[in-house]
Formats: sequence, structure tokens, C-alpha cells
Amino acid sequence: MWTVDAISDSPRPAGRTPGGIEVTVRVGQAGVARSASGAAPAELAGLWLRVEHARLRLLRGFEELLCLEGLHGVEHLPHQIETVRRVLRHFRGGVLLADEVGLGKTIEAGLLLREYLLRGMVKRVLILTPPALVGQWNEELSSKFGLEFATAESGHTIKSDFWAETDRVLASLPLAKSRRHFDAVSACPWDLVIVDEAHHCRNRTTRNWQLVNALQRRRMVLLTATPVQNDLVELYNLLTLLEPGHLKTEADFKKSYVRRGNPRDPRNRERLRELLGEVMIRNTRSLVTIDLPARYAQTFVVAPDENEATLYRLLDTYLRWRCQGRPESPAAEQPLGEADAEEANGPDIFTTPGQPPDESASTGQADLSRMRITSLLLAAGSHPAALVPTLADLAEQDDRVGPILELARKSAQAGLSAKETKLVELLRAGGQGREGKTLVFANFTATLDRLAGVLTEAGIRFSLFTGRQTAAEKGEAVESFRGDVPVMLCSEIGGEGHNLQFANTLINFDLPWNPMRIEQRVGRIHRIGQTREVFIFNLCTAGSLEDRILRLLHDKIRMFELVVGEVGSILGNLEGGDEFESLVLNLWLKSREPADLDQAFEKLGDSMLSAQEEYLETKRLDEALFGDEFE
Amino acid sequence: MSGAVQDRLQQFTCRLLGRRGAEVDWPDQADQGLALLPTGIAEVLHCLEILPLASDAASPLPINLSSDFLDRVEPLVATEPAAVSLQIPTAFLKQSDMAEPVARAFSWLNARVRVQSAEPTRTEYHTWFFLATLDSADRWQQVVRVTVNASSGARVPLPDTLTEDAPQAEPADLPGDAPSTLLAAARAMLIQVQADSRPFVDRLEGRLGRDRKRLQDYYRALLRGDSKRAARHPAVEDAAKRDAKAKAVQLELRRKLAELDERYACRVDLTPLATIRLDCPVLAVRCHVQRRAAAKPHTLFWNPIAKQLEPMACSRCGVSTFAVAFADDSVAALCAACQG
Repeated sequence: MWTVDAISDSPRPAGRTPGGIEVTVRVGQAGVARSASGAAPAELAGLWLRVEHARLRLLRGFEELLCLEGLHGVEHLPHQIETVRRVLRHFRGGVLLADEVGLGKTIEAGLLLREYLLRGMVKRVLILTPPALVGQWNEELSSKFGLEFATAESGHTIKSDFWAETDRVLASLPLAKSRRHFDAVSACPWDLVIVDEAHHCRNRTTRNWQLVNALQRRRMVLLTATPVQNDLVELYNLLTLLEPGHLKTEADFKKSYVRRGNPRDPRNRERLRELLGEVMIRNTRSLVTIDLPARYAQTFVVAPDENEATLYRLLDTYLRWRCQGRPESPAAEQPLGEADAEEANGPDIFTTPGQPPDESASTGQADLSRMRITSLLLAAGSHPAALVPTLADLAEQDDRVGPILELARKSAQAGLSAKETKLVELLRAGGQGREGKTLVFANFTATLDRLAGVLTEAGIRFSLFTGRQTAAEKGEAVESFRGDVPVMLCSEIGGEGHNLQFANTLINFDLPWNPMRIEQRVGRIHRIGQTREVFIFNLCTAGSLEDRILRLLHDKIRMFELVVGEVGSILGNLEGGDEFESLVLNLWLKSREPADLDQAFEKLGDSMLSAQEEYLETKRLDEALFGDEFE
Repeated sequence: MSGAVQDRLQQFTCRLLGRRGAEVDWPDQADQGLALLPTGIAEVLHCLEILPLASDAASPLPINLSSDFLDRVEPLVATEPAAVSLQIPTAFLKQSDMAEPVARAFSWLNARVRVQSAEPTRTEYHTWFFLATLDSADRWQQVVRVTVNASSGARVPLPDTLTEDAPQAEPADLPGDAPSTLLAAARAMLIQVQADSRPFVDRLEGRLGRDRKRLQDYYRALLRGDSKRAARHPAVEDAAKRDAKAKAVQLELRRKLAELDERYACRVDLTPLATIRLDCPVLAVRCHVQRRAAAKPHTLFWNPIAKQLEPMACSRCGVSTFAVAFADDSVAALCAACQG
């Protein structure tokens, strides 16, 4: 215990910390101490002013973070909070957050952003991300931090004054750097710029670097787990974006810090370390001791029964017929959330707001929106019951849908489907082989309702957690799952904000197309606090899009064995620049036969593999280069 | 800015300027207000006498955390009183026999203690507000409040007198001969700081450990490199030279490690910000303490605000405790750790 034995203006030994750091204490004898005896009559209000002034000063000094209150589903991890505090206190102009993958750079950036906003220190904010991550950012900013951003998306009409008139903008870097927008983006003053996956700016001859360099900004935060890929000069380029001159000129930098003949090997490590420490923070897994137990994934591809197969084929044919002559998607669109997936009547994103939908020359029908096609294909991959509401709506406009709807209704009311049989089998086995609780995910409430019936029939106890429940009902569902109920049926929102680490098995009854969403599902149970091995089971129907996506993610990039966050890095390296859902739909739209589709997915798989190799190579280099020296 | 912080700044501004004779009109929840300042105050704040009040960066005195507002008002704050005297005229005091409550509250570790009497009296409580700073490779700061009984030196958990739910107290003109409680308060404060700064210190220790390891790895690698070179080319350097070089490397490592320890050393600075003296009726419970052959009277206090017996202060380290031992000859109170 620390002790003080006398009042003294000079520091006196007070003991040591548990780790042996020496502690000294000085007790000031300001006027207040001397005036403690013989005090004047009450002037309590004045005294309050003194104390409040000191407290407000501390707030200004970032001792207390304001951003921690009012977050949703954000755990208060010490390394993240400490990072935010350090950035606020020591990195006034900008910082490169180079945490290893999975430690929550996005959360750190969100906390920083929120802190700045709450303190009134920033107003105009620009966030630039790879196209594949725009949706993810938008959702996290809104759901976790309560921050609404306007998203600038290619394919939508963006008015010329959008960048100047909008205070909070989230956009993809390719869009912002495009010829149409470069000047407008860089002409506006920004209080804070956040660049995610900033390694895309490590080459100063690219438009990425040039755009970020041209931005008028007061503060900037660069996020990347892999700042150096081939050459230390890349690091120089990134840090020059933040603090021009910090590493002097490129020639000086090379002369002082790059070993001739090996541009990856630094000289004067100590000095370079000091300089980097002034503009960069890197938390590593070994430093923050996040050591999650292993996770195992298995995919069950089941053959559809005759009705299901016919339904799937008819729907495919019908949708392709409706899409004849449709041009390929102009670009990314909003990712589908639960609400989106169910909102089959959503706006047609192929048409400009305010204009009537196009008439398709070939079908004579109003064009089907990409969102509606996606929704139907996702529903087909989930359960025939999920198809019924959308098809019923469509049938009112088009008689040809009638037979498909009938078939869907028939399938929805039939006995157990192959996927359902497998689900029941897995849940029953859960009580024997694997210990622990099981979370079953399904994207559609109609599917969940159907599964609820199936489990009731099978005598398996479960609780139900969906987006349509009240907060109290959701809390109750989680509590009974925590208690003696072994299974929880969960919609896409998946218990966000609730700790579900007590469960260690996850069954994906259906599958979102976006790998980031799949990772979110896994992240509900494979996270800090999980002590047991985690099992993931994926169910899909043979020949479906989900089957192909799973082969891509499971067999090609072995997604289920990756560390949380790595998928984002791989997607960020994908060339092209669409959201993943959009990529999948494009492949489907372009392919006329299953063989075409297989070939297209094979190609996408190769691209993802290349993106993964690029990421892994860079990661190896960065680990060797930085170690754990920038915490 | 967050509503809570903005509200606090608004309240602070209104009260500060109001006390300095300004006419302030800034209703709650309103984004803007107006103040008519006396000339002297306007001069101190470097602004005009008609002052728009707002957090907006464009206003003449932006009232927010990122502006220099808090610096500009500092001269005004510095002249506010740092010490205040209050009294609670009357309070309900426990009337029942105190022997049983004393036996329930305290553990007497090595002495026989007998309650002799309990009588109403008055005592002073000193509430200290400190700015506690822990400086090391990084910095931790907090405003900490602690209240001690001026007679016993023990820390007492009284509510904050500056908040609205504080006990009703009146202004008082207390005599100037109250014992100084600064040391007792500093001791209690240090215990509080140690607990509150624990996550910060854990973090520091982690960083120090890694920095140490980095240094040790580096210098060991140097030594290994030297000995490998020596093994390959034994004739180039004689053994004495090699030994001297190795010693120099080890010496430098020790020096670097010592520098590191110095950089990470924690300097705790406790700066008093304000004190409140509160004169309050209490029940003084007189006890007779018998420790072997020695005996001494001690007084315990029953506090009518906390409605409980107060702990005793260790005469050696100052910690407040209900598990009390007594020194052999002086029969002074000791905590379990100091007795140990």
C-alpha cells in the first residue's frame, strides 16, 4: 500500500506498484491548506466554482472519456479506451492506428469520432473506406455509436454541393477519388478525416494518396493493420499524409532508415521507432492478451426434395426472364439488413428517385429492382416460407408468379425439409457430443416462425429473439437462453448488445451473402469471454447460391478459421469495388447456366485467394517490422 | 458537444459571471444567452461588456472545452474562496447503550475494550478536494474528495456537501484552532488514488515489462553476436578485450534499464483545491482500552449524517479501519497491516 508520512513540497518515497515501479508522493501546500483553519463564512458557491473548474479542465484534458456512455453493443476493452485517450492527448493532428487485425480499429475510430463530436471539437467528418466496407461502417456507426452518416454511393445521383453541404459523409475511396468528385471532395474543409484500410494510400503516385493528401482537414486518422507491403517508403508515404515533414524528405528518410539493397529492412531502428511512436499506435494480440479458443466449422449440403428443387428452378427461370436485357449493376448498393431483406416493396434502386420505373421491352413488366431480386434469392436460400410474402406481393402484379407462389406455399407447409431434418439432428446431437448452448441464425422471420414450429414438434426447448420483439421480450429471451433453455432462434440482429458467450455452437440455417455479416454472426459467440471451443454448422441446399458462396468462403479462403477481422482485410484487397452482395448478384445475372455460374464463382474465388495472399504476405512483413513496439 | 457537458459549462458560466455582478440571461436548454459584464470582468476576459454566450466556435468567447474559455476565466476562479466553514446546528443522536453497536462494528485484535460512556458533543469534519496527478511515462489525473474527522483523523463516508442532496448546513464562523487534517486527508487520498488508478498502473507495468524485454533482447543479441564472432575468429581479439567489451555491453544494459525505471517511476502529486470545514453534533463514545499492562482512553464517534460509528485511524499509516490493534506501550491504534 502506498503511504505518505509527511506533508512536503518535495517528493517522498511512498512505496511501489505491484509490478515494482517506484512511487513517490508530494502533497502540495497551496493556499487552501493554510487557510483551512480560520476559514471565512460560507462561500460555498465560490468553492463549487473552484472544484467545477478543475473538473472541467480534466474533461478538456481527456481524463474522462465522454464517448463511453450511450454505446450499444460495444465492450469497453482497456486497450481501445487507452488508445483513444492517448490519441486525444498526444496525437493532436493525426494518427496511424495500425492495430493487428481483430483488435477493433474500427471501434477505436468510432470512439474517437464520438468523443470529438461530443466535445464539439469536430463538426464536418469524412470517412473513406473500401467499397466493400461502406455498408458495414454505416451500420456500425448507427447501431453502435448512434451516429448517422450520409453515404455517397456510386450509381446514385450525387449533387454537386453534396460534399460541401453534408457534415457527415461516409464514402468509398474509389468514389471520392473519381474524376467527378475529386475536386469537390478536396475543396471542402473537413474537421476530421478517417481513412479505413489506409494501406491503399501507401503509394504516392496513386490517386488514392493524392486525394487524401489534397484533403483540407484539421485532423486525420488512418487505419490499417498492414502499413507496409513491399518497401519502407510506403510507411513514409502514409506518415507523410499525416504529418508532412515528420520523416523529412523521402531521400533523407531512405538515407537514414532504409538499408541499401533491402528496402524492407530498417536501419537506425531505435530512432525510427521513436519517430514512429509519435504518429502511430499499434496494439498487438500478444499485448492485449486476446487469446480466443479454437473454432471449428462444418458445412452440410443437403439435397432439396422434389418440390423445393422445382420451386428453386422455377423461381430462377422467372427471375432470369424478368431480368432479360438488364444491364450489369452500375455499382454497389446498400447491404441487406433484416428489415431490407423483408422489405420486398422497397424502392427500385435502378431508377432515379422521382422517376417512374423503366418498362422492360422484353417482358412488358415493370423492372424488378436489384434489391427485390436479391431478397427473393436470399429467401429461396432460407426456406420456402420466407418466399411466400414477397411472391404473394409480386403475384398481384404478374399472373405468371401464381404457380410459383402455390408451390412455395405447398413446400412451406410440407413436412420437414432436408435442412430442417439436419437442424433437428444437430440440435439433438448437441445434448450428447458437444456441451453447451446453441444459437440458430435465420435471416427471415417467416423462416424463424417455421423453425419455431419444427422445434416445438421435435420437443426441443428454445427461446426466440427477433427484431420485431420489444426490448423486454428480447431480454427475457436471452435470460431464458442463459438459464435452462438450450437453443435460441435468432434473427440477423443476433442479440446485438447482449453477451452470448455462454453459447458455443452456432448453426447458420441460412446464410447472408456478405462474409462480413457471417463474421458478425460468428462474432456473437466467438469473442472475448468465450472459454470453450466454438462449433459452427452451415446448412445449405445443393446447387443454391449459398452453396457456392460457402464453397468460396469455406474451401477457398478458409474463412471460418480466420481471425475475426481478417475477412474485412481480404475483402478490402478485392479489386472491382462492389459490395460483396452486389458482386454475387452480378455473377448470377451474368450467368445463364449453372456451369457459367460455377465458372464465375471459381474466378471470384481466385480473386479472393489472391487478395488473401496479398494480405498474408503483408501481415508477415509488418509483424517482423513492428513487433509489439508501438503500443 | 454532449448535453451533459454543455449543461455543466452553461451552469458554471452563469454562476461565475453572476457572482461577479454580471447580468446573465441564458435559460436552461437554450443554445445562446447574453451577459452584461462589469467593466473589470470584461477586461479580465478580454471581451466586450455585452457578451453573447454560446458554445459556437464563432462566438467572441466560445464556451466549450476546445476553446480557451477555461483558461480565460481562471483569474476569476482563482479569487474564489478555497475554504468554507459550515455547521449543522442540531441532529438526532443515538441514545441507546453503545456497547453492543461498538462490539458489532469493531474487531479488537489484541486488547480488551470497554465502553464507558456516550455523550453528545460537537466535532469538525474536513472535506478536502484534491487534484490527484499520477505522472509517469503517461499521466493520470482525477479530482478526488475525501472527508476526515478532525478529532480522530479517520476517513468518514459523508455525502458531498457541494451536491444538492447534501445535509442542510448553515454558514458558520468557526474558530481558527482546529487541528490540521491535511496529512490525514492526504493519506486517505493516496489509498483512494491507488485504487482508482489501478488500470492505469497495470497498463504502465505492462509497457515497462515489454520495454525491459526489448532492451534485454537487444543487448543479449549484441553479446551473442560478439561471442559468435569470437568463436569464428579467435585470433582477432584477445580474451581480455572480449571480456571488457562484454562487460561494457552489460553495463550499458544496466544503465538503460535504470533509465527506463526512472522514466516509468510514478510521481503522485496531491494538490489541495478546496476545503470545507463542517461543525457537526456527534455522539462521543468513550472507551477504556487495556493492552497488557498498559491502558489508555480512546474516543469513538457515532456520526448522525452517516448514522453509523466511524472507523479509527491507524496511528502509523493513517488508514481507517474497524479491525483495530493497539501498540504495546503507547496503546495507540494500529491497523492489522501495521501491527503485523
